[in-house]
Amino acid sequence: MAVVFTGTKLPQSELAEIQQELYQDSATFREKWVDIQEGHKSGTDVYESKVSVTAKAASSGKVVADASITLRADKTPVTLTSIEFSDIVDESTLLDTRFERSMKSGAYNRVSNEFDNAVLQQVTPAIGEALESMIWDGAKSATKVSIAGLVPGAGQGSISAGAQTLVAAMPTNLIDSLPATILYNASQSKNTPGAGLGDYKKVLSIAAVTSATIAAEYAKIYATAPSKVINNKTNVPFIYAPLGDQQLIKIANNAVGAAQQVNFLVEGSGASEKVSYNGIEIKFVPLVGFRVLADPRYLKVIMDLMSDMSGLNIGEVGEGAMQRFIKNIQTLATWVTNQKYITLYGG
Amino acid sequence: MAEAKDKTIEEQRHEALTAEITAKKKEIKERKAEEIKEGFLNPLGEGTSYAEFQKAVADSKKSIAEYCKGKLEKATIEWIENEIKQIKE
Repeated sequence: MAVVFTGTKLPQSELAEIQQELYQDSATFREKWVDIQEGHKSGTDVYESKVSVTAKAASSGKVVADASITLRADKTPVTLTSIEFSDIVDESTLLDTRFERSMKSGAYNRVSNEFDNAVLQQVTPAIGEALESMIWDGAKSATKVSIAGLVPGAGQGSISAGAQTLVAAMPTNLIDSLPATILYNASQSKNTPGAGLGDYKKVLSIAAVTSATIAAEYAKIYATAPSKVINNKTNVPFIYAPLGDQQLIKIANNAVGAAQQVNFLVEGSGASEKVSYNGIEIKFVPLVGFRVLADPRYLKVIMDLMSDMSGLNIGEVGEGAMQRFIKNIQTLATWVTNQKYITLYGG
Repeated sequence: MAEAKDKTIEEQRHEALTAEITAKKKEIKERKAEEIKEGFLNPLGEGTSYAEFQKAVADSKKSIAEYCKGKLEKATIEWIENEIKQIKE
């Protein structure tokens, strides 16, 4: 007996789970890998102090003013920038899809609970990923122009041509990333106060970082860093490195045969994994080209409220529109202090 | 002494800092002049720009590698060559 079917053939089942995109963890904020300063609306003053003392031959006479003790306090105003992520969502396009089943009865109701739970809720981790990237990579257009205008040189106290190339290739953002701020800022605490090149320590004679060279390049960072930073047992520094360095480090560590040299210490696994070089923990962040060795207190993200990152305002557009708005807003800026103790690879 | 008292702390600090910066610039300028006189402008010297270094190399009528041979390590020479290549690009 012949079986005859007339009509369009459709799949009769579907996978229940909607596979979500993978978002880069915003660990810099969550784990406070840098100094997160909250409670600032539009701007703040950053103070730095420094005392220098000079010993002199003891005297039984009265103390006179001779500038052998210098007490210095510098104030630098830092302006915060407000940024937002917002858009209009029109769920009419979800009609005739699986999401229609979770819409309430009534032609006016087009909000799908399933869509909200499976797709819309990803807006927050996507914002987290975007902010994490912004603080490690990118610069304002004005900063890019200023950095491009610096006179390059090989020695300390001048920017490398490589750094200018990296900054030119950075995304143009509304805020400066930490590397951009390290390279160029208007701190009043620098050797030459005001807008210009930062006082960072530059790693010289750098080469392309591959699994074969990564140990040698990290040795250069370690050797360049000021001893005061390396030897500080109370406030231990971190190395901030591009995400891809983790793979290069493990490939380098696990080379087979004569090439094997275990230069990096890898402890634990998964969320508790720690990777370190000469006792300095490496934090893998979305840096591009640059690497930073610094006391985390000297790298600052100044913001209104960190939880603004996960706050999503959703509401009806109004006036009869069958649409909803999504809006997330936050205010932040990156800043650096004690710049001469920040080592910048690629700078 | 009386003049110093009339100045605010900010003015005094500014003056001291300006004097410090001027002295540093003078020191760098003198060091560079001395290096050029002796036939090798060290590109790693503080305040030496690539433009100044390139001019010194051009004046010597040598390549960067020849100019730096025996003065800098091979890896440093390669890095500087790469840096200057990026400037030209």
